[in-house]
Amino acid sequence: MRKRDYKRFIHITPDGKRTVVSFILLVLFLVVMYIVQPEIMKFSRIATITNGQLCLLLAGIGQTFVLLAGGIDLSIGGVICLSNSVAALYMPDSIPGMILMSILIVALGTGIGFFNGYIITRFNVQPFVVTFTVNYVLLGISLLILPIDGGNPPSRYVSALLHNFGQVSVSMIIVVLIVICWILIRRTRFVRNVYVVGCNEKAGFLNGIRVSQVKMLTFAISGGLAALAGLWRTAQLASGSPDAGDAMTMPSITISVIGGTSMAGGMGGAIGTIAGAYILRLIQDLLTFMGAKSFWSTVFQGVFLVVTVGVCSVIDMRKGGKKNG
Amino acid sequence: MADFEMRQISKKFGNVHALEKANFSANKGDIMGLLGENGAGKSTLVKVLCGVEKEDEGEVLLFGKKMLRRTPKEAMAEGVRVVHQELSLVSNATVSENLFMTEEEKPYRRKTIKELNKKAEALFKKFGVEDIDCTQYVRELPLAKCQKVEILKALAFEFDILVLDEATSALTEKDVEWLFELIRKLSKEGKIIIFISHRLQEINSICEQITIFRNGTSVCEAKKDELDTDQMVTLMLGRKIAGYYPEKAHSRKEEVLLHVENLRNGELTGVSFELHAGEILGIGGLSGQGQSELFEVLYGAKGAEGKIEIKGKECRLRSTASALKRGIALIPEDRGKQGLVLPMSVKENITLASLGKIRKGIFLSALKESQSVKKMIEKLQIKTDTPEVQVVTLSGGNQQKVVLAKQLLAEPDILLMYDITRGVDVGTKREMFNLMQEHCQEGKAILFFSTDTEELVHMCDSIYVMFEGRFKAHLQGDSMTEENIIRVSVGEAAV
Repeated sequence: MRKRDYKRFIHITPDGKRTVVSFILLVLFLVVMYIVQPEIMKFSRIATITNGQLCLLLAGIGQTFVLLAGGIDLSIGGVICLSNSVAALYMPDSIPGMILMSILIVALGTGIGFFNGYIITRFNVQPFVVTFTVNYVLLGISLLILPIDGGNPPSRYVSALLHNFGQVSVSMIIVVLIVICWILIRRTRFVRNVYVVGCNEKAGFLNGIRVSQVKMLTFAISGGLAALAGLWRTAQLASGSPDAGDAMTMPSITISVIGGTSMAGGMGGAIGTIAGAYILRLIQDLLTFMGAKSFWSTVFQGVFLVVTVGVCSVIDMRKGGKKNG
Repeated sequence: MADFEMRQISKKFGNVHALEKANFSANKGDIMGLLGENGAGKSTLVKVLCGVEKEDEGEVLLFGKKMLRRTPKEAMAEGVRVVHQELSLVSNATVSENLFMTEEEKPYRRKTIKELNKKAEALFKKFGVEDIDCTQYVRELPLAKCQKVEILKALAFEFDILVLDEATSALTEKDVEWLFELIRKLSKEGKIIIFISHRLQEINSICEQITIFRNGTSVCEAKKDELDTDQMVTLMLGRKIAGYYPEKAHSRKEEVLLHVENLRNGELTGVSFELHAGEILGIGGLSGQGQSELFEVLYGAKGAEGKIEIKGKECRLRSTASALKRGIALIPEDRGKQGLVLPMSVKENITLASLGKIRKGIFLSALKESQSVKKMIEKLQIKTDTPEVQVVTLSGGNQQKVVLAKQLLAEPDILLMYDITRGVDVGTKREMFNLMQEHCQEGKAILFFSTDTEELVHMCDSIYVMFEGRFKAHLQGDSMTEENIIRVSVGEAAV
């Protein structure tokens, strides 16, 4: 009886458990990192890391939405490249102009996401196929408008985004804002429906959820956030690159999955993805510190990912076994 | 001892006995008809025979030799051929490739493809098939021809036992004649034929022996001449342990909630009916006669021609969302796959179909949500520690209650219930029946499909029995008996 009371008192949802696991991992890595390199816990260091990871983090949150609804978005890299190129070339040097341009670019990304979602739901094509091909189109367009790395975003734009309020960087504020936004929108009907569609599309449909709409919206969000990621990248590098952003697609999936989001859909959340982004960075830093060659970083990331997915899958399987037996 | 014997076969799924010490036997040259209601154990028997399911107890003997049947392939090697109701053809392969797919040698070299076609032609000639081109791709064939190919596929190899499980459902009348001719020929060659059909007429015209299954065991083995239709129906039905049913409320009012006229699409032909306020209207018949199609159309999940009027207003149901908005809710057949989101919590599942009602601005109100969930949990007495636990962890009966709670929370005027009592324990059934009546006394209506005839008779104000996509009979008052439902279900007229 006492055990039951305790259960009632702190009940952690399955999504919560997954998030907790990712944060335990994060703390583990932090502890290890702290032992070998105590300055990791300095505020300024965290600000630097956040600056470096924010682009991936934004992309990862978008990917998380799509994964939650049971899809996958491989065009994230393309959108980042396009957004990066356009911003680097055409960002005007006036404050209203900058704001307007940023809004336009985010709208463009959202539009691309909508297009993905429309093709996927209207013609019933695999998300993998559509976003994979759209990615190539976007990379091509980026190369058309910016054939080589370059561009010159206004310095005011760069310094505004990389500004530090005392010790607190803009990127850290953005991360906090993301957390607050997520907690708020987690309570909306739309996000509830995203989870339902990801878990059981048929049941969602039979309960009056407009499945295509929900899916389309997740792709739109993913596109919009990827465009934001591109804008951030422009400031971070103070230049544009037509193809460097393409390397963001796979890591965006990686951090979602490390953060506890299931690739089968319906499980996980954006908070975990944030943890995932930091974990990925810590893995890289740790290996660099140990003097390992850079390719070891990728190898280790891969192994780590396989293990994470495997563990999640085992947990799910155990649950399934319980259901059947 | 008979040539072919299945002795004391038992098979349990969970806590349900699909087969309980069932016996079945046949001799060389027999054409054996297998009859029984839904869930009587016919298909489980066939699955056990062809190696898809493994029996818990019992043994199968052919010519005195024990058959192992560890896999479908091994069962085939031991002489069993089954034509399943669902087609198992590969649509992107030619007819001849399909026919010999189970053969060991690899048929994909050029030379062998020619050989295959030759073999297929020989097979067609042997069995008198003229209307199929064996080089055609299966995807280009109409359903009736696919069914024929499926039958021929079973005949392409040596066998001792041929099982035809509802193999005639897609065939034209002419093809059925061809099949009967074939069956007679095979029986003369000394094969054992087991024929399963929902058309009693067919069983009467082709079978010499009849075995009737009921509640997972065989209740009668007889020569066809010894039984008439009435006796068969009575035997299929038997005397079951009477369940508990609340007394009929007779809350039917004159007001028409749902008026359906001449609904038709691929599966439905001219379905018309009226559903009154306070009425429980029963839909009977064996499953797969268009009932699920009808429910999906009424719920906006599938399209159909015809007229649907809700409360006197004609409307087009384009999506499930629009049906819900107009006050129609569906409790589907498979709660795990269609009704519930299993990994999500009881709370989230209960409010799934009525999120619009617990909104506060753009957010979902946690307070309103937990209040309505609490109300439903109390009303339906769902046994759960907290509303936060995953639905997966609940028992089957409680899961079904969650489905019911979800739809009742949406407060629909018209509730479509599709075989909701399957796999549910007696106590839960009782609670469900009470809820159904309560619902109707509030002036709402229920369209109730059930494969359990007893339920229909005890719960409904009147019953339509479906047969091959049509409303074959409307049973009212005294004609509303289990016998009549079964009679119409198997294509006979009601008395």
